[in-house]
Amino acid sequence: MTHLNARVARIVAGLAVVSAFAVAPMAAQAALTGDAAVTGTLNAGVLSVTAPTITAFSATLTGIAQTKNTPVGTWNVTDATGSDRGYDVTVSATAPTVDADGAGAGAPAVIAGSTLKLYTTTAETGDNLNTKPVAQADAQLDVLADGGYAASTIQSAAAGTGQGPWDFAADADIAAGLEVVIPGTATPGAYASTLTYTTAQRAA
Amino acid sequence: MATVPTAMTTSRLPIGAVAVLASLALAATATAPATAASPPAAKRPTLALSATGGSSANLLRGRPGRVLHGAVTVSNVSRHRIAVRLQPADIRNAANGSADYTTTKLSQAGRWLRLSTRTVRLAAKSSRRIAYTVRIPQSARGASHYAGIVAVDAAELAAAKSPGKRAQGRAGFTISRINRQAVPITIRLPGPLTRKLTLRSVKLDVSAAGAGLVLGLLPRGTVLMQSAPVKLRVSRGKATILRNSSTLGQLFPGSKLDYRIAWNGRPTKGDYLVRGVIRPKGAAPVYINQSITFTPAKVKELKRETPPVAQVAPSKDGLPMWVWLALGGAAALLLTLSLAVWRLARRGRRTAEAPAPAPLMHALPDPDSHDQDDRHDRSAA
Repeated sequence: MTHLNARVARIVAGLAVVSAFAVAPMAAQAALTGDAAVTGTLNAGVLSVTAPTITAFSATLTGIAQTKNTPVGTWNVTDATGSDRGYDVTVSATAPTVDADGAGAGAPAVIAGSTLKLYTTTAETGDNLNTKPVAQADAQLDVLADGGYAASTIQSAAAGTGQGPWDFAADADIAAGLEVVIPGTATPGAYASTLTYTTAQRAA
Repeated sequence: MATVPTAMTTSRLPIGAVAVLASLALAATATAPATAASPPAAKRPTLALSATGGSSANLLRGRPGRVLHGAVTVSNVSRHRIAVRLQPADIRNAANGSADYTTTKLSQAGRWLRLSTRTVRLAAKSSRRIAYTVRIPQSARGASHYAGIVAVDAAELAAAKSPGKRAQGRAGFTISRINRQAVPITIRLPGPLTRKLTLRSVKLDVSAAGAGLVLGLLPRGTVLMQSAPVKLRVSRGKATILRNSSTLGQLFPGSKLDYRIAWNGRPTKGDYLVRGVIRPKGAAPVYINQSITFTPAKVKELKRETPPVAQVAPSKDGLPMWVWLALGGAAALLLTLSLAVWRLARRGRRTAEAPAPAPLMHALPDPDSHDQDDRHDRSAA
């Protein structure tokens, strides 16, 4: 009887040890999920734009107005703010100026009668399942009286749309990209213009 | 005779293969320049600008004569040290709606803004809070006023401002670009919120880029309109010349805009009827029913200002038009060659199926035939 009791006791003890191994991970898991609350802070990201590179070009003057199209590189806009306010990307430009002596000396002269037209492209969807920003009509940048160009909106994301990153492919079509009309009255020299890409959340 | 079709079969493969290869080569050369002309990838942004305290902090409430306080956070998102230039701005309407931040000749609420600093130097991956004040003049009227703060990387600005040095020694056209970040600030004063859009003019305008229908608009009232869908049609007699369906962005009160809709091709002299409607959100619709005249003087002006060769319509979603033309030519060439091969094969087959030569051929053996020669040789042997 004593011998039997000792055997039973050993079996019970063995089972207890095996059970302890089974219960230990569960207890540890309970300690992680039940006893300690998981906390953290989600910081707002930023709204940013990567303006494209625009290829420089040269042309031979003909005495009459002519059009040149130059490729516009890839670009990107990212809304990581988490605000769902929506945003706009606008483009403005300075009127082309010419450095007639080609040496960078003297004040550059503004060329009258030229226009810039930036063809808009559609955002590539990629892995982003949100509603993409809307490509606006091609941006016609006409010279204003003060020598600058009126800004034009090229991409618009209404409230609740456009979140996350959006890529825009390079536009190297011969009749797209950035179209520059060079007036017939243009003089030879080194021309320069600056395109400003502005990104901003929508106003309240 | 049976060898003729065999010869045709062996010659058909090279012709077809050559045609296919020619078309593929044409396609390859057609697409190659388009990709080769792609400019290099853009530079990553260096800075970010946001309203401190979340985007709701962009809305400040006050009364005439009061001074309001706010702040923006400027961040350096690059891995190098940068200097950021901050400027107060007026908000005007861009040509097709939404905010155009202007920093020169401030005349609106941008003048009320005072920044605690104009230049911020930031170490890599660091941020700084910049305080600002808005001093509302005693004379301010209307419920809403809009201003903005813009931030530019000073290095980008400096590079763009010295194009003469960059272009030195080489003629050509250099285009710089600047990344600019802006934060809109809405200043809300007591008063009713009203919205109204007025159509000032409808014109057929001429510029170096071509003709365009220009709608002169003036948003009015005391608060902005979120958007304004436009739908219109231009007709001449019974013919529709132009259809447009588009949407204007946010419209800020008190700022005129000339919304330009590109005209397809060149208009001819005469009268055109413009009919349509603009439906701004939260405001009454604006109906358009107006006749416009394109005068002979405008026709001359258009001819003088625009390039003589009409531009090929851009193909936005795929290959350029000229690539399609080259591919079309290659396909036509392939079709012509295939037709020629088929016709030659058909002719050969007909010849093969023709009746056998007359038995006279056998009755009169050719004394010069090899068989005869062989026989003679054998007999000689």
